[in-house]
Amino acid sequence: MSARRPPLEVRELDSLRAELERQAALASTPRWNASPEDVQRSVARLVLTLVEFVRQLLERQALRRLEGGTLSSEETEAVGVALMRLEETVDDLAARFGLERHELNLDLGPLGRLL
Amino acid sequence: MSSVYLYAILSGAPSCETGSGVCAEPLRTVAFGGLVALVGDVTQLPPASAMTLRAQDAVLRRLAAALDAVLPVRYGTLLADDAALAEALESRRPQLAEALRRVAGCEQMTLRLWGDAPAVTPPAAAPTEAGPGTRYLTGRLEAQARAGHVPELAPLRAGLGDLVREERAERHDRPPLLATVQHLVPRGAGSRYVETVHAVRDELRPWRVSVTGPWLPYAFGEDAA
Amino acid sequence: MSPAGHAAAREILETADESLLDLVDNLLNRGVVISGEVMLGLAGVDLVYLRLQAVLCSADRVERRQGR
Repeated sequence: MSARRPPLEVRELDSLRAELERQAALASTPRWNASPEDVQRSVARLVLTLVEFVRQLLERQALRRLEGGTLSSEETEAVGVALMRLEETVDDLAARFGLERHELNLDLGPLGRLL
Repeated sequence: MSSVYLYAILSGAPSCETGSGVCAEPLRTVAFGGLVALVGDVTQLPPASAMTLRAQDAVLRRLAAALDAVLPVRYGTLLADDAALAEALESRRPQLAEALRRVAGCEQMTLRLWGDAPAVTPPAAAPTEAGPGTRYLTGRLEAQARAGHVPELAPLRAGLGDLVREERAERHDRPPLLATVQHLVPRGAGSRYVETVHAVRDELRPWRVSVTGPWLPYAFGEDAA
Repeated sequence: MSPAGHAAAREILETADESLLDLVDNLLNRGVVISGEVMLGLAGVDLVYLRLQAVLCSADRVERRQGR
């Protein structure tokens, strides 16, 4: 059923395609690979990506609990501070290895759905 | 060595013939305590081509005609055997049962929102008495809510009324593509939906929408994010 | 999904047919997720494959099951 409406303009199609490509890439098996050229930086990237991934999992679940009302106000404050510190730590360590935030990008994608 | 390719979770055993799958393999159903899985035994993952994706969708549409609820499974879900499938489904059983109830008798319309810039929404006032951790967490919660908030469509929602059982929305940071919205509507409501979109088109300016569907409820099988 | 699957998906995305694009979006990005996978490697060589199914679960659900 696609009748009775104008087709998409070229730039609209392009942006839709770009967005779908981005999502398809995220939907694939996340692959973490340390290269031999700059082992220290590579391993740092691997480790920080893993930490960032776990941080996102924890944040996602904390937000779910917050929204569902199953966190006390003390727990909310404690978990919030911990996540805030964790985010700062990841940023600091990334900066120290000359890594940008987006290089640690590992969207939860399908893995997040399993929670 | 064959693997089990999972197509969908069904609300019950279909009354019709299950027929063949994407690799021309005979489809079969396996029951797991209240859930029914639609599977095919394949030697490898069916390649992702326009033809196979259309075929996979067609398999599900055929069965949906004979069933109250069909939950499409993500493409590429391959498991070692029925035992692995049982284990994988076991932990998700309550959510899957809930999802089957949610989509019963419904289908999905997909809406894309187009424009050069999103609507401007003022940020919520921060709770001043809260500690820093609480402010951080509520800030993240608010950011998450805004990611799924599409106020530009207010005139359309008004026009659609209770035709929309549930909405799942996702904002994109990619003008002219601003957001994708999935609407769960009763089966058969597709043409009324498209007519309504057409009727309110002018009220949505400066934004534009495009619609595809009806689809099986692909976006409603999981809990809302 | 395998890299080959992704190359194929990227090819389909060349289309101008909005309906086909939404079909790809539905099948590849939506739908029920049964298992998650992670691949770890060194020097371009995939070494460790993790499949996460029942492993990833919210803690309060686990505690409820344990009767705590």
